[in-house]
Amino acid sequence: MLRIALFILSIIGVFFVVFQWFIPSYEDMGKNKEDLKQAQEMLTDLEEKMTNVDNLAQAFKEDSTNVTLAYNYLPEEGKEDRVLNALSLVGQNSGVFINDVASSGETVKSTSQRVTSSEETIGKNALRQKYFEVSIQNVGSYESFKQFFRNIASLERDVQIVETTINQNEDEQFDADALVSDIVLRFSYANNSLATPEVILEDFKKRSMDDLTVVKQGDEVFPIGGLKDLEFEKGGRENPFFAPS
Amino acid sequence: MGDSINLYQESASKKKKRKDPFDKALFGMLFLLVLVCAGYGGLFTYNQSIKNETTNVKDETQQMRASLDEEMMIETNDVYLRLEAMQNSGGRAEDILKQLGVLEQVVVPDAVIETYTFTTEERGMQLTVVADFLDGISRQITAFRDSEQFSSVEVISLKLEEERGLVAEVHVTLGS
Repeated sequence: MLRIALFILSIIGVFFVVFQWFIPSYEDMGKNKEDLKQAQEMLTDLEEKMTNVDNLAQAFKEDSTNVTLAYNYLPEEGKEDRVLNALSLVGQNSGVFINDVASSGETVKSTSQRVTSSEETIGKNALRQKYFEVSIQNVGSYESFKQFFRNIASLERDVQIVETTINQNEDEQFDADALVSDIVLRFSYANNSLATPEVILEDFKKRSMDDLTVVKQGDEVFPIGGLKDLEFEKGGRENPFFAPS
Repeated sequence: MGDSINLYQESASKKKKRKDPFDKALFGMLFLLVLVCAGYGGLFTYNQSIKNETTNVKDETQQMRASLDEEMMIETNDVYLRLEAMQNSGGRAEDILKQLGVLEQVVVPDAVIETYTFTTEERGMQLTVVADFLDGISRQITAFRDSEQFSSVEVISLKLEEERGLVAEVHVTLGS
């Protein structure tokens, strides 16, 4: 009897030892469950981000107004020619006479870096903004200046008024009630973000079209309908140093 | 003779009685063995299923990530960032119009704003106020201070000039 009992106990012992090897401990099982939970959360997280990417991409594809608006507001290049054209139209429309213009070179406004660390994901996915400044001197009435600023505010382009000075006119060639202003305007443009796809994808976690409210509608911009390309006579001239009489 | 028969029967029944506890113990041990096997087997299966599910979920995640069109995502991100910047651009030219509108409301008849300067960095207005008499300047400064539109009013200088009259340099800041 004792032998049989010992035999069975030894079998249980062997099973116990073998199972200890095969079956993980309580802590290991807890860890495996935690791993599964984390994996499921990562999947849900990825699904959510990819859904947001798809929804936004689809929305931009279906309505290209937003895309046009975005690249008009912050173009990839300075487009100084368009800026000068716009300023000329702003002055003409408001009745302000622009009698001096000067422009400064490009300045780096902000940069984005190629980042990989998970702690640095948010906030690093940024456009590489640059700007140039245009200083203009104007002459006009008070009302025309107000219209000038209204037109500037309605431009499709990102423009910041860095400095404004409005003085009473002392020059006798202009009307007595005319005002003279010196205005420094900052026009921004931006290159795309250099962040890695992983960092960009992370930013899509909380993005949706609901977060974007279109600031300017087509009929609220100056000039109405948006700035058109300049028209000019092509063909050149034999002597580029003299205008034809 | 009869006694010997009785003694034999007694010893046989004793032997029978001795077998019972052994059987029970054996049964109990086997039952314990089966129980341990079943318990461990169940745990093993459960743990394996967790591991398998984790592997499946990770595979699915990898497949889904691989299916992402990164070029499309980068383009979408670019448009989104530009629209976001547009949204957060703030007033700018509207700020100037707002300030001029406030000045229209607070300027007194005895004084004139000769110069208006606004810089983004300082956020305030630098004004040159001119009046023929001292009470004109004082009324204008009082009007600035009484107005709820301004959060701060600071008189920087005051001087009398022969041609212009009384000239005051005032720095005012619009309230939020």
